Amino acid sequence: MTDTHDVEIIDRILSGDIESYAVLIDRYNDKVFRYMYSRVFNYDEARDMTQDVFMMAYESLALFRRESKFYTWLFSIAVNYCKNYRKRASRYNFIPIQRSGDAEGYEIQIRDERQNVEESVINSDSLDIIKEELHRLPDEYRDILLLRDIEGLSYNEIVRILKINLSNVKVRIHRGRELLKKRLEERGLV
Amino acid sequence: MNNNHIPFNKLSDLCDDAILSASEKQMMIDHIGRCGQCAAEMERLRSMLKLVSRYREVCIADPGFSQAIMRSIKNKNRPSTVGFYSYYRIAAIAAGIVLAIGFLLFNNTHVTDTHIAGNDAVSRSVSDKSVGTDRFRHMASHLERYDALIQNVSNSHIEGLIRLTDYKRLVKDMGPADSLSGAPAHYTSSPGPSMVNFDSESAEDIDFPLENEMVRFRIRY
Repeated sequence: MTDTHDVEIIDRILSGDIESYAVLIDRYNDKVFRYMYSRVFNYDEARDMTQDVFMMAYESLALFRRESKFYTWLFSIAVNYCKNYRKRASRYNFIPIQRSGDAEGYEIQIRDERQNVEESVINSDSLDIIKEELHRLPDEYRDILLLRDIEGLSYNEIVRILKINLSNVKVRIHRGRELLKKRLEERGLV
Repeated sequence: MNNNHIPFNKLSDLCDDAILSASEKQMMIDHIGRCGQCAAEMERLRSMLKLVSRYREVCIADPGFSQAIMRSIKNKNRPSTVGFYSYYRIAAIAAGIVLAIGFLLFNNTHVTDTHIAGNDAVSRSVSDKSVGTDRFRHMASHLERYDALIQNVSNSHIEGLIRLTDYKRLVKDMGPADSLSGAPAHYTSSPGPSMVNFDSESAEDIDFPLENEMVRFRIRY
């Protein structure tokens, strides 16, 4: 059920005290940011995405039915946002190439991995490796590990956020942990 | 348990206290106590989870973050979303009014000057004082038609000289709609040109003794 304190704040916001929303932002911005960062692995982009999520949550605040905790609802928005974000913008940069000798010319889009190359340089700091390996995980495992092992959400909350059944949540958690453990072992951290 | 070892998914469940039943949990703990391989695997899993929890150190690290969002929210919420256009509407209406007044003033001055050509006093007065209303224009055109000599135009009155007969016709022409309400009319014949202070509803009520005499008039407009 909903965190009473959050509900009180939401009531205040809905009754016109807009400033109170800053309390909710301060309380949950890092959680949402971590989720976004694990997705895009870019500080500025994750920050902008986090801002968008809080804006969307504010605009939909009246629709929050209080059947769950506020941050569960907030994470649902973040998850949906990311799904649509992926559709909107590709993570990759494309370099146009013109074929020589072709009067019309046409563009071949190839993946520019220069940024990724930079980011993939192995860092000695374990946190950097964790960030990198989390980012490398398939979405379905990364999301669930982030929600469960980092943010500490319950299985039921994850069910609610990801809109998948409990057994699916369990399977993904096991597989995600196994894969991550294997990769961290390969990096010599475990 | 395959090959007498605990499968990974069960070890994973063991990390989440609420997943396993108490008896199952105890059975696994007992096994791990006896099996070095399962104990090592469990240790690696716990170590991995502890490492992963370091990801909580990732944060926005921007104390102004919430305020930046609040600014965006306020900007979006300000009546500006609706009011943005309202302000423009108000400005457009105000500009329209100013233009209309400007046009009216220019037009009135121009018309008055044309209609009362030869009446230098009124032309000058109108130009100087920017007097110009429909009523004034209407009045001035009638006065001109009856050869009235307009001598002075104030913000509220037109003064001049006119023949009595013309003055009576003028009042009839203008009709009751244009009659100038206020105090009853009075007529004075001496000394010099008489003066009609016409503030009456009906000119017929006035008894003029000398029909061709030039009288001074003052009409409120």
